[in-house]
Amino acid sequence: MAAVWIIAVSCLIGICCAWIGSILVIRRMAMLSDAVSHSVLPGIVAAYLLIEEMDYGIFIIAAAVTAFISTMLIEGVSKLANYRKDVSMGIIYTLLFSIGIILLSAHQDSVPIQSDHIIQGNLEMIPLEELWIINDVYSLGPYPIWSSLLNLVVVVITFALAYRGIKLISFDHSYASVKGVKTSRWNLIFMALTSLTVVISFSEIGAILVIGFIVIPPATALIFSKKLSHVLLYSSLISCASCIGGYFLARHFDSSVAGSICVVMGILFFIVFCFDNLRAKFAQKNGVRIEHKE
Amino acid sequence: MASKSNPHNNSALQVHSLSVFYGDKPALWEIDFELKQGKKIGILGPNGSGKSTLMKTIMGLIKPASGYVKILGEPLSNVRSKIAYVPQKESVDWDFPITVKEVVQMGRYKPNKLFGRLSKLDKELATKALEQLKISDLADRHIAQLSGGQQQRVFLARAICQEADIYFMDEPFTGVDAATEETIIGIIDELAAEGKTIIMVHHDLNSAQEYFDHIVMLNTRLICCGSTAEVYNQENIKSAFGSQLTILSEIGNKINELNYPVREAGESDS
Amino acid sequence: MRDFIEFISLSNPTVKIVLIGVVLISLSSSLVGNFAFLRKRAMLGDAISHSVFPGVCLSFIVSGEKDPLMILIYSIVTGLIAMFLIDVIGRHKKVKVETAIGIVLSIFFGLGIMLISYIQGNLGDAQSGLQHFFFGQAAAMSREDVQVFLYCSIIIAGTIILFYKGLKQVSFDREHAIATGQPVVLLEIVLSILTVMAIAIGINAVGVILMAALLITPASTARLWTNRLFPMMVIAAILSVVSAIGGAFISYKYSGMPTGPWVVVLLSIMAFGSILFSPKRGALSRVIARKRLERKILKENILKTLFKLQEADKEQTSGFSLQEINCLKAFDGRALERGLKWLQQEKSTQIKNNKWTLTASGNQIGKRITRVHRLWELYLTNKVKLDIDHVHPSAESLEHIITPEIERMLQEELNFPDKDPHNKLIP
Repeated sequence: MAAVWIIAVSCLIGICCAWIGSILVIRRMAMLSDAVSHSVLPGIVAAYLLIEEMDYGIFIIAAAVTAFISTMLIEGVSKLANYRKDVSMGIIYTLLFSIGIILLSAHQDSVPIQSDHIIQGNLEMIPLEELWIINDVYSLGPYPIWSSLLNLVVVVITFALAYRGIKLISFDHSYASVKGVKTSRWNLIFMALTSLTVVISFSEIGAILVIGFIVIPPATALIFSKKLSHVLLYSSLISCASCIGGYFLARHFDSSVAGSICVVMGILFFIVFCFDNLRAKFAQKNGVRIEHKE
Repeated sequence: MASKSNPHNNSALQVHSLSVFYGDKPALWEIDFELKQGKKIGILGPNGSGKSTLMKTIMGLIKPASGYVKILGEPLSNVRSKIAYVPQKESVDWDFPITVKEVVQMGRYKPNKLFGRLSKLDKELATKALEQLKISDLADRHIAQLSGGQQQRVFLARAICQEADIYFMDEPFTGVDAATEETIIGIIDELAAEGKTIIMVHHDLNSAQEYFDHIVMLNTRLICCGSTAEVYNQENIKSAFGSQLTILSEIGNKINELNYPVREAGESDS
Repeated sequence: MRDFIEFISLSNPTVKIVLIGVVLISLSSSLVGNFAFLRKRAMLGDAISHSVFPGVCLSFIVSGEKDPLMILIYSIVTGLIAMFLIDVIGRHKKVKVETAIGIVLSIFFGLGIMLISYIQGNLGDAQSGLQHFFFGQAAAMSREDVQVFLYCSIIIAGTIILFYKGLKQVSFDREHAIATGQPVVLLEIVLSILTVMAIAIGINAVGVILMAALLITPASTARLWTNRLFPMMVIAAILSVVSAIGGAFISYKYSGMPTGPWVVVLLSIMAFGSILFSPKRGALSRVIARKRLERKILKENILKTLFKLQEADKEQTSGFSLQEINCLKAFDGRALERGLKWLQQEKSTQIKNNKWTLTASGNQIGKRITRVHRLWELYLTNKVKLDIDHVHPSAESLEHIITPEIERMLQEELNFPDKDPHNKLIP
């Protein structure tokens, strides 16, 4: 049963990250998710210090609020100092993460966060986590499975309803705004969705590997897909396959699940990457134009 | 408002005292002209003269420092459904995972109805536009597999299926082959024959005389605006393609650096 | 204070080692950070510092102990492999460089996580102490560590001095460097090796996650104070040394406080201070400049208006009331009085029986503004070919930023005219 829970949660998170990541990768904003995932730490620690009785809901809210503040800070520093986005990201996330670590070391006894888990993820702990029990009898499984499922539902519904809008804005921003699409409102919604996904993933797979879940499967799918819908589909499949593969790899080496999943994602990426490069070379040799088949 | 009460007023585009100082883009100084409907109009000028800046400002993508623009006698936001915009080819990422057909269908998207599905009519119009530009056989290709000319045709097809009244095109002939240029010109002639207005940023002085009935010449300031016969002469070409006025660019830099208002506070144009 | 003196005097040998180590590390990463920042490679440094982590773990698995030199060699090799992979992947048509950075960062870090959890499970966690490389553990530095840091810092600083000119050109204008025959590829490789080296020693103090701050923050802060490379490097070095000492001191004084995160926090505080207060680019100084400009505009407008009133009415000698001034040009009521008071203090205007007149110096300024205004109108009509009724609003605003040099250019361009397009005399 433990294996099922772990694989289920990682697949749910994997699909969410893959969908959000597809758009982030296409719009070259992937590193933003990295910055956000690092920045939420001080918010969470502060919440533990301020609120006596923490539960999972407050945890997520605190993280989400911090995520929002950090994106605003990145934006603000970029504008004020005239920095490129990546510079202000580097400054802000390291600062916020440092504050988090300092708070954590100052209150080690009162905050039940282990700094290792922030880095390495927490997937193997899922089966040991508190269960959601109704009427003291029915167990609905651990909380993370429900939060990641909820996240997935929100992401899928948004994409299903607004697929054309997302496609239009991501492909041709100026054309969309000439058409009268309220691009800033759409961007805001998308940023909110990103923050939510990053926050929920952060608590399970660790601050750093979020970027892997967000970038690698979409980047792999983008190499051979010719439609956005295909990118979404294939990146989800790649993600799930890596989650299953990663779990067993981790079991075999007795190592971190989240880390192993990332490694499997990386292996899949390199297989596709090398295959595509070889095919391009081969096609060139034969004087054929590169056709992307599915 | 004026156009509603007065049907005889057939103004396509009015540009009033438009000044633009936007980042490192070429500046525009107090541009002022008006264009009538149903014409093929070329906006000409050398590199860095602000042609594309003007186009982007008209399209509301750049905020002017002073002045305003009216399309069909009204502000842009009231007439969005009547205009079609063909941006520069370089403005998008051609590695985006999307097929030719999908791009063209974007022409039929309505800004307030991005949630539903496309109607049958929408799809038919997109197919027709593909045929018009002779790219039906490429419909299911990924856009990265197209040549420069084919990419431009895709953009034009997207605009055509919007069935607009005014077409704004930003340098549609850069980096295209001769066959594409001919196809595009054919379509522009067809549109003009239907009474549509075409306003195009163009860089080639030689073909301009042949393509357009009306010409606007720019070089950070307005050089001339009028029918091709009237304004296409050596004197205007020389002042447009001659050197820029040094004092203008000097002060333009200063305005940019200080983010200085070109109108006094409290004074507006409209 | 006594604590600080005790701390900085290096009387305690442990403190001495830690302090020297942290300063060396901060210094060398801020040196290479300048080039990373100028070459717009901020996030690359971040990716590399995450990517050296599996190297650290590998060195432990292979050698079974924490040998600073082995760790250094392994992490430099892993870092260079990561850099190479980013380059290769980023060249693919459909994978952008930013994406390549993200891919390599997470794969390598994932691998590192796998290795460390493997070590914890199988080789015994207690003696490895590898998780120190997450956040750094300056307090655990040994004499041997610091020796290695010292050699690396010397290599980094020496190479930068040796190749200074070439590195400067490559960072400012790569194309131009190629054109002038600089060995650009070689220089870039040198810079990559130095960066990886700085990162490999830096993770000892601040850990892989916060390493980016040591690289980017000092350089980007220094950039706000100067436009030239050498002063920028000096400022960045000072900032990083100050925060290194501060971070080490805080961790010395308050037990349990980590050095690395405090170094980063201190660096960031200085960065924010500079963003707000630096004289050229700071937000506050921009606000002050704006206010000053507004004040100048108000004063010049009043002087100009008084000048024009005098010009129009030759007999009037007793001055003009507020109402008369407001008639010619509408001022915000209080602004006019405030402006007149400033001008009075500067002895540009004087008041007699509630009537204002210009003094000689005020007259001169008023005259100049009127002259510039009319010259600009003439320029717009004659050279830019605007209609006469369109030129006034532009002149009304731009008269305040036309410098004496531009005024002279206008005079020459227009052949020292005496009348403006409205047929008014140019004074």
